[in-house]
Amino acid sequence: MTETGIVIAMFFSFLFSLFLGTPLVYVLGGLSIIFGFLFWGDTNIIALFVRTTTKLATTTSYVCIPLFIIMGAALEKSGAAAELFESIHVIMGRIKGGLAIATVIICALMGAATGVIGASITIMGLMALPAMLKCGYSKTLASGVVMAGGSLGSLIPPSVILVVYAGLSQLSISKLFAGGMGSGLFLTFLYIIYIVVLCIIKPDVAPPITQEQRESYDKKELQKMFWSSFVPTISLIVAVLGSIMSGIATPNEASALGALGAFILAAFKKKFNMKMVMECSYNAIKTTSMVVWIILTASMFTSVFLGLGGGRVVTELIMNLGGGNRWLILAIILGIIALMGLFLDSTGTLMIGVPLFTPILYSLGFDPLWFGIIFAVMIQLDYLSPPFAYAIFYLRAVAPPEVTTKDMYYAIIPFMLVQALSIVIMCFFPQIIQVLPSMVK
Amino acid sequence: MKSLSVVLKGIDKISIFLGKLFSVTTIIIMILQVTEIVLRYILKSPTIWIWELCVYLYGAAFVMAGAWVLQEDLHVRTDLLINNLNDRQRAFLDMIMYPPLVFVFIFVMTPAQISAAIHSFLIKETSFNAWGPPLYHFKAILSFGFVIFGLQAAANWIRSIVLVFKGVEI
Repeated sequence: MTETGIVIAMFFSFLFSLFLGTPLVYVLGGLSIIFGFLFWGDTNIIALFVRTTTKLATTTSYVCIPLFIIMGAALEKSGAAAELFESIHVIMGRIKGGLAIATVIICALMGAATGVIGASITIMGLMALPAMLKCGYSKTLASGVVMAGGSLGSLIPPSVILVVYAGLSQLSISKLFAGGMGSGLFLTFLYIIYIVVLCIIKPDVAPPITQEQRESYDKKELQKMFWSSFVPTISLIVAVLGSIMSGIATPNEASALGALGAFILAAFKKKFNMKMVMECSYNAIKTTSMVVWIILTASMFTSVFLGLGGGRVVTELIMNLGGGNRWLILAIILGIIALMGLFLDSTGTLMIGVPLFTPILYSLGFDPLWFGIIFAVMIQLDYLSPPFAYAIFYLRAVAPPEVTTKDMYYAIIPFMLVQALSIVIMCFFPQIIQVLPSMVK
Repeated sequence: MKSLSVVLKGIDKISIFLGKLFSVTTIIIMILQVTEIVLRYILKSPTIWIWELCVYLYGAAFVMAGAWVLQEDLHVRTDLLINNLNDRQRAFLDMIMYPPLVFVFIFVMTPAQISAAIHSFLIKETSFNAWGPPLYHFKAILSFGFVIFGLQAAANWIRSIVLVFKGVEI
């Protein structure tokens, strides 16, 4: 078989096995062994796989993944997120679209507290969505805000995606975190602009809360909630992210402090007990194991794929399609990443996409850090894009039945457009991504 | 059939037990890292062993929890096709796809991991860092993780076969 033939065979067996519903880990692991044996023609490939396992199990930078997950889970279980919502919701509810804006802001804050997106969509779906519906918000705006805001967690640090990206690309975690922060804030800002504009055009999609509803809240209790949930949560987030970006602590140390801080916060709220600690650690280890097993098998897969000439085939294909125009080539690559997101999860997309595309883009003079963040924004877009929108799956599980899945598909479209617009803007103004990292030592 | 069910449930229990046991490492890592911060920044006497130990704890935990994730069927898959299938049809697909993908992966990787661990024992391998602890215990844990992973995969496969041919879940 020719080189191109082998690469095409590998690609299609990959798609076919995924389509039959075999878990991604086995598709990647099984195919890399089969193709490695058949076409590499050398059993040394197995020794390479064993070394990959040892290397991954001893990767220092991945130690922070379970700890960031614990931090998020502990904050969630402490009830801090719920109180955060209650207190901001009354303050912001007075203006048109205020609840939607509050939801986006709280999602951004929660994104800064956890590394995984499922948690914030679940919480906001349980609290913010019914509150907005009760207030007379349109179903599409209310559910769209929860999904778009909730997936900000994949971009706003600490984000598991950025940790994995750092491990793959040898870029510094703190610089990637700083870049993710810049673009995450920018996206939050764009979402808010969209809500404000929508409220001006169609005021009845997001009415303010009534006097009656406002009075149903006890002011003193609200103030107490604000001081006991908003201030400590924000301080914890600032301490963790600040210590990483200023270079005082390594991401691993900061994640340990963050997890401990979240437990202490839970203890103050009398939610701390052995069961809660164990649940947080179960949650953390299951998610970490899921992600790192995919990283392991995807590393095996890409080393076989690249070794058999897959990189050359893909590069030639993209270069020919792009015809030498670097922006067209970037657009093609982003298109491919969007397609990959339709059938791969975020870790799979990263593991396969980074080794394939970064050499092409680096050779065309794109900034590695800038592209890293653009990649992360694309992955966030993957969470939102149907038919396999994880955001919709998470929200479906908790949304009231009157919000149909069809509503959610409609709801997500404007936010996907905002997201696409943000990528275009970040191409023209790379400073949005680059300013914060340049301040990081 | 009954004894088969007992064996499969036993494998489940082992996977869950080990997963939960090793999830404790996350809490241990947290405590160790915080201790290191206190030692380094407050008492000004950093250790050479804490960060390295944390890495091994994380590595052991991620491999050992793999079987638990498998037991709960949490590994991500594309549901384009299988959303429209019933349990028995899904089991049929698993029955067909496990041997070429899952078992090939496990049958090749597990012996390779074990022989790497044995080799490590024979040469008394240590790490190259300042602390330089022996590595063979760690490698033995990694290969044990693959064994449990394989056992759980076999259990899942047998379950799918029984579901396809007998129509019962055991």
